Amino acid sequence: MNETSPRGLWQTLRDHSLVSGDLPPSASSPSPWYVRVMLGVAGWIGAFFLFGFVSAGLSFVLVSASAALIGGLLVSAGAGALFRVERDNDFIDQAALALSLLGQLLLIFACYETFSNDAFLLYGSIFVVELLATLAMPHFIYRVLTSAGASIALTLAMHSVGLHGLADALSAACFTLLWLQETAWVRLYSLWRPCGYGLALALFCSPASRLWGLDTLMVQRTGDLHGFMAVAPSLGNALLFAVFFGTALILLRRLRIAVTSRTGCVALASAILLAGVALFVPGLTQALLIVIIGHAACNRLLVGIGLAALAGFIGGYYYTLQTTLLIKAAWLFASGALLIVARPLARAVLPTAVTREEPADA
Amino acid sequence: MSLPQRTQLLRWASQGRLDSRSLPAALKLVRATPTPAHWYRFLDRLALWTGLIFMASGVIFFFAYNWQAMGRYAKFGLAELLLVVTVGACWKLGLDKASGKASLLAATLLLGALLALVGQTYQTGADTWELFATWALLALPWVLIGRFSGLLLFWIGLLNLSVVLYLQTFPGRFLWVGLIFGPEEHFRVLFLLNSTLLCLWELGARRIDWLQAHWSRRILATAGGVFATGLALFAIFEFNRGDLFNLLVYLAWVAAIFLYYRHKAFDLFVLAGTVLSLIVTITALLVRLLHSHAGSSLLIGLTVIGLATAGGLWLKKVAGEMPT
Repeated sequence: MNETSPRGLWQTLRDHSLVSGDLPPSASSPSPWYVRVMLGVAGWIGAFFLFGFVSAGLSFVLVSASAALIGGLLVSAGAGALFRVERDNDFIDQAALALSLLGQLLLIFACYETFSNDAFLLYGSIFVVELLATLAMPHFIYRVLTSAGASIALTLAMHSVGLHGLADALSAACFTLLWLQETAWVRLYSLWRPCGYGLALALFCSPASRLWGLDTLMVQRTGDLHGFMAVAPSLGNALLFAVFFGTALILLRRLRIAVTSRTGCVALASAILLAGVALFVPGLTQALLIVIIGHAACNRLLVGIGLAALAGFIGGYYYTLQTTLLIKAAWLFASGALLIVARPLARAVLPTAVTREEPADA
Repeated sequence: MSLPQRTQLLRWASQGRLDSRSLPAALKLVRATPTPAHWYRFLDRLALWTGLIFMASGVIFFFAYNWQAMGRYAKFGLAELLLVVTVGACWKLGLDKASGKASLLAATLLLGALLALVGQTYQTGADTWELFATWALLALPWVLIGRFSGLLLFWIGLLNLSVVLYLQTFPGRFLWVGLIFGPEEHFRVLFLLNSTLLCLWELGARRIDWLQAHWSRRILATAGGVFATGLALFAIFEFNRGDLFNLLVYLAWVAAIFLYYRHKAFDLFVLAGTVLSLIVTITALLVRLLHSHAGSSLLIGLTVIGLATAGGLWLKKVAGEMPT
């Protein structure tokens, strides 16, 4: 029997008395991520045309914020009902996805109409809309999009009041918490898993938009930074550092490795070093977090997102204006050399049971 | 370690079929959680690849800075020394080891830095495309002996970049003289380039082990698909001479992809991407043909939903037909 099939897996668990009874009747297995991405993109395209229909044929919905709000709530409620009622009908499911995205567009339009003069209230209200939508709508793709949207809206809201760097760190903390507690929150599987992917996307997009200057297009803010605003980037960096360090601690505990053991000390020292070096390249800490947590969750998609982010941020680092190319070159070279030197050191210090050589595959 | 098994266990636990207290033991039993040895191996590889790429990128940044305090001979000496060191490390470590392969990738990056330094120092008057084309040409032997798909993909990226820069420098001099030159020509040339490379890759993958990695072929197929879809959109929105040809090329590409990745080398990723491409193209065709009013927007929206549903069902069906 194939151990990778659900039947073989169930049998293995039963042989070890971890489950009892027969294999539960399987619900239809979820599609691979790329099929879901295809459906999500198609959902967005459909939603834009439905929005075109509303703006041209039902234009009374867009004449005022309150009309758009009511329209958005009604459409979202209808889509939510369809998600709950028609779980096995693919057409209804896809239509509900497009409708729910239309509802979101209408609600965002209502936010824009109400708060277009105040960037904080605009992005803050969009954050609330996205957050509530994530909690209310039982749909995987929808939750990925809305949780990413909530995180990006929160970042823009905080940037609009001069608080830079804090939102990214908060998103990184939430992302880490979700993926590292997956067994503890298993009952909320259908909620946290799409949120975990959404936050990974936000962690990828947010520093990228800053690197390419897109955030300044969306948030125009003038005036000096003072008080809490002035220390916010440092606080954000400290929080990112703490998240990275905390991740190392949790992973060590999961592996039953004592912090005071030789392996534990090496792991923590490496985490401190890596997090410290990564803070100087915008986005690098987030990218490394995605890679490491992706590996912890045996999730190649997350690892892939993290590696793509890593490559993107190194490329984007070339264009940042905070410092000269000479300093950037020195940082990159020194941190690269540190990583290379760390390999034989780790091999020398760690127990042989851990460092046993395996055939290399590139 | 297996993600499908891990996901299956989490799903059973979320449905209450597996006691959540037994979940950690179940994950451990089916090896769906990394052990210390797995972690060591993973972090060791991560440090190796990122370390060497960081160092090589640092060298490229350094030469891009054009530090005046350092003489030209010192710069050339440094660039050549680093190149010799990485090539020497590759030779010493051997290409069967990840460290040897990473050294070769670093050497390839440093080769670009050296070529850029030549252009910067001697002001040869060469165009930017020549830098990348020369880089690709000189790196080709290393790519062939390297035998790993990451380096080959990087080389293909260099080739794409040099073609784009060439077309920007000499619009209209590439194969299709007499046609309207602009982004459309870029799409056509890049489609041809990437599709040809994908065909060669697929042919090679039948005999050569290191070409069989799915992810690298998927990247190439995605690039070909993006350019093919771009060509179809040009054909739909701009009715010029040769547009029917673009549309026929697109349809031939779709047919070839469906036949090959459905029957010869099954790949659901490529099929899903092609379904999305078809949805985008049919939507564009409807936008072009229907007048802009509320009814047409509704019709197009519903058509997109219908197409996506049909595409999703078909993908589910073909996925179910394949052995696990």
